[in-house]
Amino acid sequence: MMKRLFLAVALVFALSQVFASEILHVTGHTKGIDLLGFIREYHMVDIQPIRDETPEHNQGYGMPFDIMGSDVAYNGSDVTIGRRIATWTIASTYAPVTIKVSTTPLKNLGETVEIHYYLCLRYKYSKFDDSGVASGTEVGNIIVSSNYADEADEYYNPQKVLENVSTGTSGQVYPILSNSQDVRFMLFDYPNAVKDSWPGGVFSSTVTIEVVGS
Amino acid sequence: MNTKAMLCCLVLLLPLVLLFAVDSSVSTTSMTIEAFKKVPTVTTGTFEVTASFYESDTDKTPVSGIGQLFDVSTRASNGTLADFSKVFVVNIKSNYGDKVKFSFRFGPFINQVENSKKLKAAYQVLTETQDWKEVSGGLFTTYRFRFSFSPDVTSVVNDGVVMAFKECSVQGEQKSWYGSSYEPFTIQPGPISQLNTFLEANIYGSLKVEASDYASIDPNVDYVSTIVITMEVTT
Repeated sequence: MMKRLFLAVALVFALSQVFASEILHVTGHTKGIDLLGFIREYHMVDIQPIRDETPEHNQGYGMPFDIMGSDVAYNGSDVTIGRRIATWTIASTYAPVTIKVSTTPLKNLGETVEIHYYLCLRYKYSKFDDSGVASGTEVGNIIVSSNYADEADEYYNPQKVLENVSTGTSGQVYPILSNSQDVRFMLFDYPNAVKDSWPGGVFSSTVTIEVVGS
Repeated sequence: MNTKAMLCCLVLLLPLVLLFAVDSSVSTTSMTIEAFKKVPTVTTGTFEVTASFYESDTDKTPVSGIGQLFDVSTRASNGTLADFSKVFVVNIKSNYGDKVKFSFRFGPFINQVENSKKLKAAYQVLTETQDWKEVSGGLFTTYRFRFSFSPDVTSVVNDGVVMAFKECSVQGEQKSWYGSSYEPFTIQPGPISQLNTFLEANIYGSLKVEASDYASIDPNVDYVSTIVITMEVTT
């Protein structure tokens, strides 16, 4: 008898997991809904390009863009201000997490030219105190260089650890949600003579973002 | 282990499998950066137009494949033309929305024995809108492009060297995999159209000899005019 009871309980438990999204109860003329959920270690990352469909290809916004434009030209004082080409989102209940960003240089179709650039990924997420009340924001930038051949570059192969520990003293770890923040593009400091020598046409490169849980 | 015990273990494992099935400690995403560089393209081509004047119809032979011979008898009656046509072919790797401007420089018809002897001429330039050329846009979309010339016809009277200009633009349409016909872009493909097509255009011209020049025409020599075509692509 005990074995059968145990088997029945286990079966019910299993089925409850299979259908553990939401269960609608109907009681007379009233309806209630039970939300069944669970907490697990989870994180995701996403990057979405911004399309610029205007024939003029507006300065400072979207893709594709003109590599000769002033909005992507090198600004030695601040590499965090380039053309806004995409937005990215990171969510994690698994802090701290390590963000790895890799990029390839821009190449033309014939791959006769490589053009290097900086990419700046801004992040911004809420901080909380010991009571779980929002108590500020964490803001920063992850800057990556496409020139991995140059290991002396300060932005070579960057890895950024994001964490969200209570602003109080409890040490409580909170989730990270940085939603739709800017991804900005800026060229290396190329002399005009070099830029003029680049052939006309189309250039492309790939950006990959990886989030690894601790 | 008996059957019930095995079943029990399997049932117990099921929720654990469900619990961890979608969990992952790594998440990855990627994106392609698209950029371009605009460079005006200038291409120049030159060809010659030859007209020969013969004393009788029986002497007529084709001249350099450039059109019709001058007919002396017709010339005598109405001072008409030596028609010619010339196809010029240029290879344009261009983008949707580009503007292509042609300039034509016409010279006089020059006596090939005595260069100082020239004939006045009237030219007419007629270029044609090209056929659509399909370009694959991936699995679900097909694009097609064509060069569309402005409909006007440029006519100049040549007395020395005269310039004429003509423009065309790149038109584009798209068809989705479920569509039955091409429609104007709903999402502009941007400059990355992979458009690499040949532009073929015809120039039709005519040489008109004024009556006052009849007497100066030497029927034993060719008269040659040079036409220079310059093409400039701007994005």
